[in-house]
Amino acid sequence: MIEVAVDILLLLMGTYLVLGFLFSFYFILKGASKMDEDVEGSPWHFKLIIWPGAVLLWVVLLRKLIRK
Amino acid sequence: MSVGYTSILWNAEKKRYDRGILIFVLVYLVAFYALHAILHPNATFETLLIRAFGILAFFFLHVILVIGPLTRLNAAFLPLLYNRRHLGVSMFFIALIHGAFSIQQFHNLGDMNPMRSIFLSNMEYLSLNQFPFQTLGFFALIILGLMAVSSHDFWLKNLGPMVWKSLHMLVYVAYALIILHVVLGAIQNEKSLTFFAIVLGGFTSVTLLHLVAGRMEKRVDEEKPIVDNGFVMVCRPRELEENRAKIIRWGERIAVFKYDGKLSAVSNVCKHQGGPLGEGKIVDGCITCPWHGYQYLPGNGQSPPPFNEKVATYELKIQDGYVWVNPESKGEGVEVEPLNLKDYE
Ligand code: HEM
Ligand code: FES
Repeated sequence: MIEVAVDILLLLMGTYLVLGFLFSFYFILKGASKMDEDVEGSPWHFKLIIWPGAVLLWVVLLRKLIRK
Repeated sequence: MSVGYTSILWNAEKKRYDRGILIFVLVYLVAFYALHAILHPNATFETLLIRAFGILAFFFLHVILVIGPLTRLNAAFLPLLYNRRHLGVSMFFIALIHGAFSIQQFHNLGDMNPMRSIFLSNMEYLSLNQFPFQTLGFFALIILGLMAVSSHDFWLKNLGPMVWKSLHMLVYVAYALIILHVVLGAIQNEKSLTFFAIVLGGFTSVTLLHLVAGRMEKRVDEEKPIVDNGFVMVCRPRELEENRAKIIRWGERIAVFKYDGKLSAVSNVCKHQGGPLGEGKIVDGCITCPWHGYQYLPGNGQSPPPFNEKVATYELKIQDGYVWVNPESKGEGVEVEPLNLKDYE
């Protein structure tokens, strides 16, 4: 019982991370500047520093981008 | 402030703050190691590493949680608040080292997947003194991670203040999880009474400081200012300190600043994260937010170029020897002639 619950939890977390990882490439290359024009022309290390956020917060970001 | 982004916003003061963090960490680690070499000469290096970083992260979390209330009680603590964000991110990395080494040490040995092992190597979920406390640390670490990755100004702006604030209020959930993680873990490791006393002391300080600061806020809010003809009384001009403000509460909070023999009033709420401008100082002619240093010109509430933040401005007058402010704002970034105190001497 606990084992099944833990396996489901880990599967969900893993899937979330994989999807976030895929999304993050789109976000760093395009999505971020679409969302916020100040991103245009910012240095590579800025993109690097927001990259982990794009992986972990992809659900919120995707929703905002779709609404836009 | 906007106009392009960069990765980490550093200035001389922030660099000093970060150097302070680094020196503290290094001195702490050396002291911790030396002390343990004497007290527990048999402990392995990994065990010491796990303990040292766990305790350090736990300590930093306490500092982070008490900075807010402490600055409310006494402005002398403001320098600690100035770069709390970097302290938070450092704390996450320190906790991550603790967690990663724990997983390596305790869960990466058998043939079970280490992630599963965190949850399944100990299944006493219904027991109190045998509870798998590491799972609590795991969830706390996820929260701290979410906060660390979203700490850049880009996230505040683009997640929106509501989402961002909710995310960062989760620090209290993380704190509760970590307290349980530490206490339940300590029970299993049969820690000394001193250890429990220190944890209890930390928890009590965080709780009490939040209660006291909260009560103080409420009292300020309940003070009834004197109103006459639509103007709210501030105080006598000489009660104001040079380059400092007095905060008036009338619907919105208003900060009335004194500088160069003049007075100006702006909204107390910083455009960045709502920091209390009236608790900041005027530096180089600009009102400087005590939280992260956003600046505004007192005469028109605008950030100096090239920035474009604007806070609301208010009209002032002197009558019967007192300063009065009109709580109807003139609008954000609207020029209001400062009140020249020389005209009234
Ligand atoms: C994946 C996440 C985590 C794991 C697997 C984990 C694991 C452990 C383990 C195994 C211990 C017992 C160490 C020992 O005494 O030998 C411990 C203790 C401790 N943990 Fe964690 N932990 C995690 C997250 C955290 C976090 C996020 C914090 C705080 C910010 C934290 C703070 C502490 C503290 C203060 C202790 C007591 C240190 C001591 O025993 O002297 N842990 N943790
Ligand atoms: S500078 Fe961050 S709140 Fe004012």
